[in-house]
Amino acid sequence: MKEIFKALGNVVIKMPQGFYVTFKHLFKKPVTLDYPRKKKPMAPRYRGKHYLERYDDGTERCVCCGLCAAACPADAIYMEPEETEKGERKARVYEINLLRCIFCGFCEEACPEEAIFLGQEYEFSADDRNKFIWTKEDMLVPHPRKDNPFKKILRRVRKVYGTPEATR
Amino acid sequence: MAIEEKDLHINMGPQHPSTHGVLRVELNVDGETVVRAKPVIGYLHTGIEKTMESKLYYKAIPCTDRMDYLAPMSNNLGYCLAVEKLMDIEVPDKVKWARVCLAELTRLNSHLVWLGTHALDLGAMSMLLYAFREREMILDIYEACAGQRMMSTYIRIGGLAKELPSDFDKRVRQIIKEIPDRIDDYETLLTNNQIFINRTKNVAVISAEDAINWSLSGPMLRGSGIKHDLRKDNPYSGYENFDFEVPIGRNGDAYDRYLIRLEEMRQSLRIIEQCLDGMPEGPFRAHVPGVVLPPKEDVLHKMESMIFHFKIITEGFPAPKGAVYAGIESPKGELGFYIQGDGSNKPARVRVRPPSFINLAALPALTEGHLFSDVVCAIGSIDIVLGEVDR
Amino acid sequence: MATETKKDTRTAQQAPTVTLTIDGQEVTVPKGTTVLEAALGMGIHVPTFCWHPKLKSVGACRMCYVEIEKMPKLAVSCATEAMDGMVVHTDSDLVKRGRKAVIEFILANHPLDCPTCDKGGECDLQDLTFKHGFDDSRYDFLKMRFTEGAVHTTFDDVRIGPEIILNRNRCILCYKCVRANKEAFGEYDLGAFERGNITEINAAPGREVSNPFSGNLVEICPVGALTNTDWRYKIRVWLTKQARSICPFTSSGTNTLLWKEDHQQKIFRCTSRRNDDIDDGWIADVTRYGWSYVMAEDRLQTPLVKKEGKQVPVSWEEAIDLVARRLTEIDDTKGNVCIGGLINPQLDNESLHAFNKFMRVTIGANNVDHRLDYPMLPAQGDTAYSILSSQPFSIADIDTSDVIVSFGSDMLKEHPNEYLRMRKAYMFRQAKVFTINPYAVKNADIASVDVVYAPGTDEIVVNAICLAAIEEKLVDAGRAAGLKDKIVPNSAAEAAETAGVELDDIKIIARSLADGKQVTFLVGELVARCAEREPIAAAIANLNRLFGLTDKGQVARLARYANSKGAEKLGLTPFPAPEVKAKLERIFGGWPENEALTTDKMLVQMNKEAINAGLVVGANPLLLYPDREFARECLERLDFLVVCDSFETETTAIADVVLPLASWAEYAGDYVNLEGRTQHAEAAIKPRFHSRPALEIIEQLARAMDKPLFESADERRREVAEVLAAQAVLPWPNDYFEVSFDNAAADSEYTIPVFVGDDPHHAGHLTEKSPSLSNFVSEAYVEMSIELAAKLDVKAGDSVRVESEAGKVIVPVKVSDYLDTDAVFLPRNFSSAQVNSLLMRKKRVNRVKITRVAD
Repeated sequence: MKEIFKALGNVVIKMPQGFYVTFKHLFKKPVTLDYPRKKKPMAPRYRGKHYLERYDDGTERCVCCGLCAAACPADAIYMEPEETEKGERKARVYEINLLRCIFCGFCEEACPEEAIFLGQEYEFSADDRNKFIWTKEDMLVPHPRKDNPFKKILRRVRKVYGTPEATR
Repeated sequence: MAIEEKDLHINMGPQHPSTHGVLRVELNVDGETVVRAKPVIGYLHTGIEKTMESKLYYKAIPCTDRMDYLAPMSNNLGYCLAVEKLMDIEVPDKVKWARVCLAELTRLNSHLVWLGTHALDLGAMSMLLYAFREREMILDIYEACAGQRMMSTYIRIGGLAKELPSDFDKRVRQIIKEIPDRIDDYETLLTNNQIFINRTKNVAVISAEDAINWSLSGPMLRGSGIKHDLRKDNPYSGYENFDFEVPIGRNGDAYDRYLIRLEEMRQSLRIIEQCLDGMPEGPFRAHVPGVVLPPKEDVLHKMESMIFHFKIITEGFPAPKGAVYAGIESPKGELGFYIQGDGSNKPARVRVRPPSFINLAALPALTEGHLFSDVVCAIGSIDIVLGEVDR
Repeated sequence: MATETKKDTRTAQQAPTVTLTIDGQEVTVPKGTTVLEAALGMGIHVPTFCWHPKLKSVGACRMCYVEIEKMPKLAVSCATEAMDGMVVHTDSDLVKRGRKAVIEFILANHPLDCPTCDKGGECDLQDLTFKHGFDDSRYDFLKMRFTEGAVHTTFDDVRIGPEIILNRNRCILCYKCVRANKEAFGEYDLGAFERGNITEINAAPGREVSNPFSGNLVEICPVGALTNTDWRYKIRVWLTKQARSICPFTSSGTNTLLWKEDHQQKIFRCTSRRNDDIDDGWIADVTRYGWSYVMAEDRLQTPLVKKEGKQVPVSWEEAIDLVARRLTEIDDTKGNVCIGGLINPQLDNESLHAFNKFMRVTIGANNVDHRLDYPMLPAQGDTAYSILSSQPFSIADIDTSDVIVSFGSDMLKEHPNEYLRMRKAYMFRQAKVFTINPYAVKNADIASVDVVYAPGTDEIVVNAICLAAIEEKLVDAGRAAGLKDKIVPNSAAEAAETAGVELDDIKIIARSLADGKQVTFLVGELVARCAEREPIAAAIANLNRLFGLTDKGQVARLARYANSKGAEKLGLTPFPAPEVKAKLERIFGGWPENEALTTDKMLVQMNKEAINAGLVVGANPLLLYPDREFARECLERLDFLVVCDSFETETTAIADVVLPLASWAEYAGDYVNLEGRTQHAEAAIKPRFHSRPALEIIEQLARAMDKPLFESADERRREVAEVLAAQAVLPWPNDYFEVSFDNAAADSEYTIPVFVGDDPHHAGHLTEKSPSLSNFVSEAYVEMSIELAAKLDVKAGDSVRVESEAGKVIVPVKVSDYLDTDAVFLPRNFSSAQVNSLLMRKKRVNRVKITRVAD
């Protein structure tokens, strides 16, 4: 009997309270965004499409050392180095296969030259498998660059022969 | 021609909205009564354990994200604790506190999704919207910390991937402020909702004895009145420093489990608040040469750090021979990692004790002899994630 | 600083021993062993940078610190001799601190080059820092930096040799390269300069590091200071896999690793795989860089068939069908004897055996030979030369010999590995080395006596030694009985005069041969390639019998090519050794009736149009046969010529069908080195383009002719094993040979003796396609002594016309400081200069005249 009364109470009193909660939301500002017309700003650390940094003088930071490829848990990175006329090491081929990439950010973490970063872009669907292979040209930031780098760069010179204290 | 009387054989799933993934349940029903329920798994099998065995220790962390994708940080934590135990690494207090905080946020995250989907299964559409709205706040924190909303890969062996973001405190306090009210809203919507009560009360009941025999853990176990929580019983990552209650149920039915999960969310908020208040200063990574990456600034300027960075990235670190098991109280129950090191830089064996998998095994016990429509409720109340069940 | 000579284990067993305790374990080692070696022998890891097992210790890096009780400080274990009762700790806290400090000092000036450095991933410095160092630095001063004046590149790299790049900033001054260069290779083109903080390793002033072993310097460098250009900025080491291979260019079968990448199907480099029985971990540059011809883009890609005078690409099926049809046709119309087969002895055992079976069973002709570059081969099998060639030989025995004679052998050019072994015996065991050659050779610098005899008097020199021994009564009179009557001239003095050598030198050699406890007598290509090789071999047989050399050492003619020995043992010659022939007869179910023809005879028969079809596998007789015009004439007369090769060569140009041949790196095969040791080489990559291994081609041909060679691969392998197991060593005769001598007078016009052989950086006809080796030497030259250059009034680099009766070539001059007679040397490896056109096959000594080409 007690059960039945309680149930009745629930139906008569408690359930309308629930309806009120729902009803309240009619007058609240929607939390959804009108995507794709409006976009949410991504966090500064967001791990989106990769980009390759340059030095201030426009030369590529990447020396094709292979650490990103070594750190990549999905083996998404393929690279082939070459020698420039000045005898420097640089990437001839640098490709990331988006279809393999899991955006874990290990490449960014591994890079000892602060060359590769994961950027803010996340809309890169395409209708062809080949378009998911990003080459170096696709990823290098334009020079001169239009916007400030998203991520902080700790070393601005190509070659260090000492700690920051020493170079100071 | 004689008509043979046989049970009706029904396949529920693997493409069924209420199976929470690609679970298939082979049901034999006699009228409306379930005679036999047999969960069939493996549709999402990705060989994560084996994949982890073929990867360097640090490279296996992203694999853990993909098991219980609703609780990535818990998985990260479980794996990292196991490796740290194997390598005998003690992490700084700040890391412990931050990990607890993140793990509890993850519990909130996981329970919110459970609440939304479970209620949806039982016909309460708006719950899904509300729960996912609140989850968004947590995902934003994940994004601010790690850069991704789901596959965080934030907790690392020996610490965290990066320093906690500067607005971490502010964001989390926002959650602490807002979510209790929201939980009250959920209670208003469901706890005394007669439809919900009818669908859950005395449904999918499991006795305390059976729960232990089925090796259940998490809310499934506590719902039957067993007070077992690894955070209290076998504290890890500094849980002994926090003050919280472990809620238990009485009947062991779906309704009790619902109540427990709601209470756990409140307790999680308590822990998170204590975390924020007591967050110690210090480095976000332990300093263990040869295992934990040196700071990036040193890598760019010091030869020794460069070499260590280079070697850790390319070759990883050799773990000693031996086996460890580290279990944590994940949102779904006891998540354990058993790792066998063979002296090389890759684990010889990784075995995960996934709570969803083991809890799911009790599905026949929960449903056989009961109504067909209760199967949905039973699956929902177990709280499974097929990514974890199949691995 | 103590410098310990490494003792060989064989003698060490007799030497006194000491007993010491290392890390609580007692160990007994021969006296003179260093603490480091004792520890390493027990399997205890002691880190080192500067120590190398095959070099003397210097104690330069201090990394091998150990704690020895009762010693006041940490001791450098590589320079501390083990003593009785020593108690050594290699893992105490003090040692660990010491190592940390050493690493810290070494890294104080080390640039942050890991990302750009090719050594990254296999760098000793990285590994030992990771293992023994600390991950933070206490130094915050600027690092030292060497730059190269105006030629300032970002990474301060200097090219110091054709294939070596030096970065002195990375150098940790272990001196391994300088020491190896000096101690192991006897080269002085690399040195350490300046002192103190600015000490640097660099090429000797005005020189470049281009010695034939320079690649080893890169390999032993513990850091990235010396790097190879062929590996530079190509791939990371952890992405590569290794195939265990064998050197196909020298006959030693030095063990190598081919570093390959499976997805790209590319080979990236070749390094040594130390096998103390063979190579000590040193490999010649030709071995190290020769692989790159495999990756050359101008390789033959498809079969070519001559249609209306032009070679056009066709499919394999068409080519094989055509060859099978034409061979059957010729067989039917003119008889199977009308088909001749030549095969390159650089191919693997199974290919050789398949070829043998194909020629002798499928075709049914006895015309098989692998000796393409030897003129006038003997017409029967049981000659002194065959006996000499079949003698067993062990490389490791060179180490322990106390007397080593190299006769008629330019070891550096022909047998670089044995050359190093001789140097090792001299450097580490003070062995007596004698060189007896018609022209001065590079290893003369370690020779106690270097005899340079007049070209064409080879057997007289050997006779002179025998005569001197008899005259000086150095040998048993009974033993010597009967020899003097059989050889010319009558006295040692006369012989010495005929040969143009000092009698005293001859006496010293005779005495050493008589007194030596273990003698190694090596006979090289200058004898083998000589048209009059038979009397020389007879003279050597006499010498062997007189001194009893085989009883106390070894007398051997060194096989020249990677599988020459295998070809001999597999019966790829017209006259296989009796046991081999018996085995083959059983396997083949018979033996062809016709007269067995050597390369030489085959060419003659071709010239007479008695042989109408030729099958040449992997060889280029037009470049290597010592009479180009004759070879060309003969091969051109053929109705049908099939040539399998990896590249377009002179010989493929005149072929009717050209089949692209896979290189040794593209299939797995067994090779028999000059010791008779069978070694396996793994395939590194799949055959490139549409090339196929020789074995596959031959088997397909046989199948197309409806006479399959083998029922299964197992059968093939069983047959090869069976033949190889046959005893191929021919016994020395029980009597002395007669040795006559007919001194041919020199022409009036052509006066300068000419020797044609391999350049030290090349071997055979394929290596010129290797870009790396071409960086060392890319064109033919005429090498002459300073005196001759002065006499002819030419300088290094001048173009000269070298003319003989047979032909002429125009090549630049190379002046060598070690040549000291009138003889000149020309390398035969380059198709641009047809050096073998200077030679005439019947002539014992070819002579040329050299005139300067007006600019």
